[in-house]
Amino acid sequence: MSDTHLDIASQTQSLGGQGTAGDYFALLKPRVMSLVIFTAFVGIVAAPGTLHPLLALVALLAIAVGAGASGALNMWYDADIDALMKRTKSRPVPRGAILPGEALGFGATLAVGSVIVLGLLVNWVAGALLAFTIFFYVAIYTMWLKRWTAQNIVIGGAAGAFPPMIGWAAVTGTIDLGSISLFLIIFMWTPPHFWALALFRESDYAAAGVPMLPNVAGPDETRKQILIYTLALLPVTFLPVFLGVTGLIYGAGAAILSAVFLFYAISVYRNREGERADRACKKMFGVSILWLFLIFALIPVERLIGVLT
Amino acid sequence: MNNTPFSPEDLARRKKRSLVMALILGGLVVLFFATTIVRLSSNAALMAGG
Repeated sequence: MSDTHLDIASQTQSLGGQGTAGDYFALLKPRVMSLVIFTAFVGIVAAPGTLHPLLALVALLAIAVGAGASGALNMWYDADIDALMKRTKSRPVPRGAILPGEALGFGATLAVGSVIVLGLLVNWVAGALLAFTIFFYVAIYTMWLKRWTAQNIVIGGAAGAFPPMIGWAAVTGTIDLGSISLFLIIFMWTPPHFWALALFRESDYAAAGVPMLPNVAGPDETRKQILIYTLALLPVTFLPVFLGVTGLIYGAGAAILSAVFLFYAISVYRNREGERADRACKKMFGVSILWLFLIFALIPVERLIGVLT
Repeated sequence: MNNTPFSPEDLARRKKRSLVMALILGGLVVLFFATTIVRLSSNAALMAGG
């Protein structure tokens, strides 16, 4: 246990049990969880074959709880740096509402439970993928990469990219090129998304000693990398079309969305000083969330149109 | 004299947490039962077909 974990435990001078149900819900990182549920749902929809609606619901629930468990374990381990950053200092553990040990127990229980439920009730390929995702996010990203290298979110981004693969595996029981193409979209999207945030939260990350790219390589290099990763993301976006996972409706939508993403990446690259630079980064960050939602929404929309026509 | 180390607020929070936990567990029991029925009936259909 780190000094900060002991500090938090002693500052609260409590025996534990102070957290409300809402605090425990906050440990699950509900906003991240909502994106995980959505992308996993798209994985289920995109996969060839069918899954009983109740089993699909169980799969989504288990994936959501597994993602929440990862969030709780992340908040347990990162309590020291969360306490130093404006964005995270009001989280339940640094605030003292939940003791580090409680967050650890809560997260570990949910992690094991979600994997067992997905494995037993749906299939073990999906269960194993969920277990690997939790391991990757907690051990590889949170405990190792995040504090060690500026490439933390490039590699660590894989954890956030697995949910559509898990959804797909829940239907087929396999890992296919189609599901890997959905994985790659989120994997390539993550760096520009997080680096846009890191650019306007640079001082926050610097205060916590987290080696994000803007602090290590500088804002100009980060802007260049955002543009490079955006350019690499664009062809990846069309992989599901070439693999026959999606059709022309998705392709047309992806073309428009890709142009929009590139526009904002260029805006971040060009605006480097003052308020305009900050605004460009904030817009890029906001648009990137909407972009991922829309690109994945195209898949069920296309399926729905296919069913209706 | 109150011997418990927990304040009335702590106990109220605990009660609410327990209630939420009970609801979640109850929901899971229903969900697992329904899932078992679905899996059993699909297995039965497969056996009848084979």
